[in-house]
Amino acid sequence: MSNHIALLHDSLRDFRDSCGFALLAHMDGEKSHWLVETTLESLARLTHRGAVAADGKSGDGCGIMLQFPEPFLREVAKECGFRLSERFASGLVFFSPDDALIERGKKILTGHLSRSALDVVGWREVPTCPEVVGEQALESMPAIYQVFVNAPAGWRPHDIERQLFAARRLAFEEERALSDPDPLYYVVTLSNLTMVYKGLVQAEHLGDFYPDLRDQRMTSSIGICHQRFSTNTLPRWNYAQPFRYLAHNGEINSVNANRDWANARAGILHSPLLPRLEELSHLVNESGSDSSSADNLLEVFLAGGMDLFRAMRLLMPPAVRDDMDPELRAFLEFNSMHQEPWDGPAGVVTTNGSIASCNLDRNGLRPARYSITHDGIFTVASETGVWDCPPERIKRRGRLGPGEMIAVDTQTGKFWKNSAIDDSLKATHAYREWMTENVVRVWNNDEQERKAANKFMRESARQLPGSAVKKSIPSSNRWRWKPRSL
Amino acid sequence: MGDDTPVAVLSSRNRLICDYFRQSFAQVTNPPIDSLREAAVMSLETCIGREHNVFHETASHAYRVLLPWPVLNYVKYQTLLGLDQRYYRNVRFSLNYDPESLGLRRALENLAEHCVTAVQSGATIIVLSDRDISRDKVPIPAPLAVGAVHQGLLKAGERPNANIIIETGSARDPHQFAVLLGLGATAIYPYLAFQSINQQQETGALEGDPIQLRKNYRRGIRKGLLKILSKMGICTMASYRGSQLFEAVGLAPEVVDLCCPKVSSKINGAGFAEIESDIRKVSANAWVEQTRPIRDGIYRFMYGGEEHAYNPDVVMNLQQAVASNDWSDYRKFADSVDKRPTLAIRDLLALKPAAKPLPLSKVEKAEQIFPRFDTAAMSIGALSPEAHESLAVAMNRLGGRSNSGEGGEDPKRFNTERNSRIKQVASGRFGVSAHYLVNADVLQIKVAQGAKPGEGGQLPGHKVTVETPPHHDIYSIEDLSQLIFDLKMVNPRALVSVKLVAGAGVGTIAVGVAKAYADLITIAGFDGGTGASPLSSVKYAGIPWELGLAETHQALVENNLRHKIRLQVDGGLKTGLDVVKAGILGAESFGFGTGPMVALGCKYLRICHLNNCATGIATQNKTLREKHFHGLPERVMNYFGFLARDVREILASLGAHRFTDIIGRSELLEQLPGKTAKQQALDLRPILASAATRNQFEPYCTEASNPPFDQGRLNQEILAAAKDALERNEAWSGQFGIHNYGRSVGATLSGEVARLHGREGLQDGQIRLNLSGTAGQSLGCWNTPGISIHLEGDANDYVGKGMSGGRIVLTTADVHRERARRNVICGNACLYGATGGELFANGQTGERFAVRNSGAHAVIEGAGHHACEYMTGGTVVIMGPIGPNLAAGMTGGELFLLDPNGEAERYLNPEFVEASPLEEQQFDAPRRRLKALVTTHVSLTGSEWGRKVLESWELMLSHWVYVIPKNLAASNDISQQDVPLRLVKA
Repeated sequence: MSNHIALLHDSLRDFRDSCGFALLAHMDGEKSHWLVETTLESLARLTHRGAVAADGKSGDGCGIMLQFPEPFLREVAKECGFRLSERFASGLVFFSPDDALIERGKKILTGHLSRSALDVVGWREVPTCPEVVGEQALESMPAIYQVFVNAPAGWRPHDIERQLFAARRLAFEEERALSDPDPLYYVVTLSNLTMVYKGLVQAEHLGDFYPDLRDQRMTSSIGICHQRFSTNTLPRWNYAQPFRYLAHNGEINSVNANRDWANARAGILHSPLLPRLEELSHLVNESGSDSSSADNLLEVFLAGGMDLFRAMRLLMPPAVRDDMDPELRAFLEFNSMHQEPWDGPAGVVTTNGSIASCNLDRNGLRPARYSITHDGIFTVASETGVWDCPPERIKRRGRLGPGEMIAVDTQTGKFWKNSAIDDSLKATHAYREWMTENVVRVWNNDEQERKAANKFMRESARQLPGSAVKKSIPSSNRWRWKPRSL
Repeated sequence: MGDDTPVAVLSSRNRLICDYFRQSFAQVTNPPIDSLREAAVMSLETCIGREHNVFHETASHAYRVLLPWPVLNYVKYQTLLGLDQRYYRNVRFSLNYDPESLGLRRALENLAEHCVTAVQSGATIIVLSDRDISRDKVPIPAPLAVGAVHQGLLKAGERPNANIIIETGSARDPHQFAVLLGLGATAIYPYLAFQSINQQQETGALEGDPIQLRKNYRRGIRKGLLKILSKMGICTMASYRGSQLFEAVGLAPEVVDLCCPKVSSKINGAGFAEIESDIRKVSANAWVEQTRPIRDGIYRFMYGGEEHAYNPDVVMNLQQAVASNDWSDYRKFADSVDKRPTLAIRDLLALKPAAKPLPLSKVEKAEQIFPRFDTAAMSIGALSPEAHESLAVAMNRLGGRSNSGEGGEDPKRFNTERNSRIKQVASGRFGVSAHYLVNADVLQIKVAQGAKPGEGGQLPGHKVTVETPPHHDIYSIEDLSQLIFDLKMVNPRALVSVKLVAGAGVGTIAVGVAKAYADLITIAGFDGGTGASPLSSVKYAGIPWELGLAETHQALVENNLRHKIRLQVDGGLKTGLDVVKAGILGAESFGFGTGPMVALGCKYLRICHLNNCATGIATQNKTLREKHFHGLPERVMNYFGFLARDVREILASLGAHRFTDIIGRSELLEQLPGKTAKQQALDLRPILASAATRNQFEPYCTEASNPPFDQGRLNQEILAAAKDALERNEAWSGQFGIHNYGRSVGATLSGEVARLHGREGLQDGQIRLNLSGTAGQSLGCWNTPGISIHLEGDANDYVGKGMSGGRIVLTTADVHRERARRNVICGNACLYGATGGELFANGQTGERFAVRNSGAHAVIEGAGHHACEYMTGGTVVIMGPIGPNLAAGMTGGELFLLDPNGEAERYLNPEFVEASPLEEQQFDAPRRRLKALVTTHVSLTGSEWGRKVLESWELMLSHWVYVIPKNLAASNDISQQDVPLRLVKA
């Protein structure tokens, strides 16, 4: 037995979290600073869904995700003297406030990016206002940098995204494998589609903490914000949400199994779009929060070329019901055979920079209310009324039901209802046909059971059953559509 | 009465490996699922075959075999083995090994290696079998085998390519199946269970068709599995498989690391050597000729069987002591407890007396100890009224606190010495009204209960009605925070307590609860509990409180929250020694359930659930109560008197002046070696070290309360404006703007009305609150008679939760009048647990509308899923779309649906209710009630849709569906009688 006595509660590993979220979008894709400000206001109005640490000032974490604010970034890069090419990416990186660690961390990330043909052109120290941070959070506050990365000409945004993904993950693994890894090293986001600002500040102060967010040049047509309530007060800046693609309200009860299965599937997941997948040791993290693991897997799915709707339906599918459209049911059953649900209460908002979506768990255990204004502002949040909008401006108010998903496409201006998403997904392939023809369904069969009774009795008398009885499956056992009584 | 037997590692008997695993359960941060009423979301479907790459979708992805659920019968088992060997090749491994040549550990490692190799060379189905037993071999315990193989395949990245089927004799009850599946098994063939059923049938012990018997057995297992999954909030077997949602009590790290690395095991314990030695004993026994199996006395005390903490001697000694009030009799009782064989973890911890003990007179007085004692929650439905009141009287006289339990309380008892100072709020919300809440010093939210965490009550009908597994307003930590806020708004003087069950990560939950501004936390051990729980929950869920308490104490100290909150422990406490040990491990307050019951005369017969209690305590049967109940408050007071003296004597021996001097002082305890090899393998240092954690504050509560960050400003303003009118019993109305951060608005007003004017409240419409904007959560919660809330705008979740009277009107701005019925106007779980009053909403509502409503009337223009779930009274009118699982478990009240599209037939859960066209002749009275309600709705909300419905009343009559519980429909009483609907006067 070692001399070190493990305590019963491991505050590094044991925590749960939940929260409130909001998503705002200009459906017609118009970018504005108003939307950024309003998202911040919504965040402040969800403060009561979060919690405050014992010092009465440190929040449990909050953050905001925006579309890639290209004009703003070009201008600040210019002010910093960075030369940006036509296509570039950027993101926030946390380091321990120690020059040596910062330099090393920058070098590692730069190295991996350059191996992906991506060129780091500069690091901007992000302006912050630590006065609004509580004592507990201040002690663990990281040094926050913004990295600017140039991409080769001709690459499409999604190609850049995939290379950034691989480089970021590999850099993280290299950092972790060091004998003295930087404990605070964390890439908040690195993308050419989205930008995330987050920290351990109270919701109302996020915009004060990051003056960038109050800058009139910071514009977006999508804003996602998240207020966290954690069951510990350990100040961990990287646990604030949104993550790279999603913000999650809820808890993934089956996360142990989900992580194991996801990592074990690394061997069977192949996508020509993701050349360096096999270099990663883990597809999803084992140590962060449950939500961050879900974000990891979503990221793999998206980077591998899966569309956002199918990816979310794989991770958090609605319940298969008897009264369901058979085509949709076939789609869900088909997918359920290869990916188990990340099960538990969930309200999730995601964006890939152009489509923003929100979906709920199969049991509708988290709230999500939405509204659409006559001038095309879409809002969905844990609560209704997160920003003041005169009644005459509101066109409709709705909510998400259990297992439902809605989305807006800011490029086409299309509002995707739950049924529209389902219709598009179920029509992708001939799922029903595939299932009917190929799945073997083993049902109860009293007749066979009776016939086999004698054999069963013989074996009951402690005989070995013959291994591998070779026979074809009786046709009565073939798949047929039947009510789902077990 | 929970489990009073030792956990597996402490037992001196041979226990199965499964017994070491305790099921995880959902509390606070996630809800349990109601696997009965919300069965549609659950699925045990199991898929066999190789998984494919999800980045592609082809027809060949569908080459799989589907099983409805993972417990196989003979035919299914043979079918799987007989599948096309090109795609579903199976390889069989025996779990029996020769212990002389191979240790258990090696056997497991070999097995895992062979399985990986087999899968790498193309096998898809791995069959593990412990069937071919022989005299010189012993079987690897099935859970360990499954765990090691699953882990081996995961590490090799081969698990998605394989399926693990286990053929075992050791899977018999649902927990054992759950352990196998949770550790990674794909499917289970429990041959020995089937064989036993056959044998019983052949010998005539069981009657019936053997096939039907085996089917019944599998059905029982299926229900048990659903319960275990739902307890953890998991809906699908696919997600549960390999999730390792257990906590091991007393398994060595070497075992856990190899077989289930994500199961936490904190105090060491049985390693491979100890486990193997147990298996060898069992195996040796198997070959001895016996006339019948050994009886184990696991569930009920049996001479020669497993030890029980409440054995007949203990019960008798305690009753003798409280009857004679003689200290020497108490000592006899205390000795029979304190010197028993090791039954609990604390029995392995001994006090270290101080070199210089104090004289007893220097120790704080008994009166200062009594406030630390509470009786545990036992509801008025579970106990006879006499027993329930005796407990209250005893505790009030002593200065301790008694707990109402979850069944509500007769208002006649309020403000008398029969009042329970602790009032409980459980998921069923029986009788929880503002009046009930303001007559309490402590409001306890029962999140979970020791004997059956993650489950609702399931007392048989003759005792109390059903209870829902989750609190429908606590699905998450921020929801609990909201409920605490609601309670503090309605009764600002009360402390709010949250009752948790010790389980993996309870410390984490407790920190969240403290951050949600609770004032007290109760940690219940697995041994706390109730007389009526499923055996698989009594035996396999929750952990000893020693672990949960020390963990909670440590977590609170580390987060600088311990001094802000009171920590109570509950579970099998009997003597002063128990109290002191619990104090040292971090508790400052103590709950007693069974002890005071035994003092009242309970003989511990374990028949509480039968309503046949021979001592007249746990029964509603009048004859039994009159003839046999001899419980007197004095006996309970005697018991607590003894306890206080016992505690003081021990404090003196430890040299402590005050109880607070020993809290968290774990250096006062030392670990005893233990008698068995398994006990000796335990390492209790983590418990002691956790209890000793320190920060700059005291390790006990030093603050009066834990006030919320949000002061509830709007509530204060409203109360200030209405205060004079309330006191003078005059009419008042006020107009306020409201935003989503204005939460629980109206609650403070209701609390004040209930406090000043009692249950009847004020005259209809006497107080009128006009609001405009978006209301935050819990608008008008626990609204009382006399208060009308009119909101123009929309509202969030829990509108009218627990309302007992008055009226809430939600209406839209004029610009939205036209399409109001298509908009959502309020959120989820509105009217949850309402007992009276009215709600009119000019729009649609969210999920679970009027769940557990037992008296409120409501008119809404559309509802989500699970509306009117568990409703037992009141009238609900839905003039718009409905969602699935309507009226699940509805056993009372009535429901009107305007259903032109025939959705009712599709969505109604027909288990308890019957739907009929309202047109039918006998529904004349309901039709009139409906029209009155709709008319009121239109006049109050200005609903455009309601106006249209009224205009074409006769035309639309054929679209109305009338839903009532089957028993009422059969007796035809409610629908035929002209029950006048009491509408609140405008």
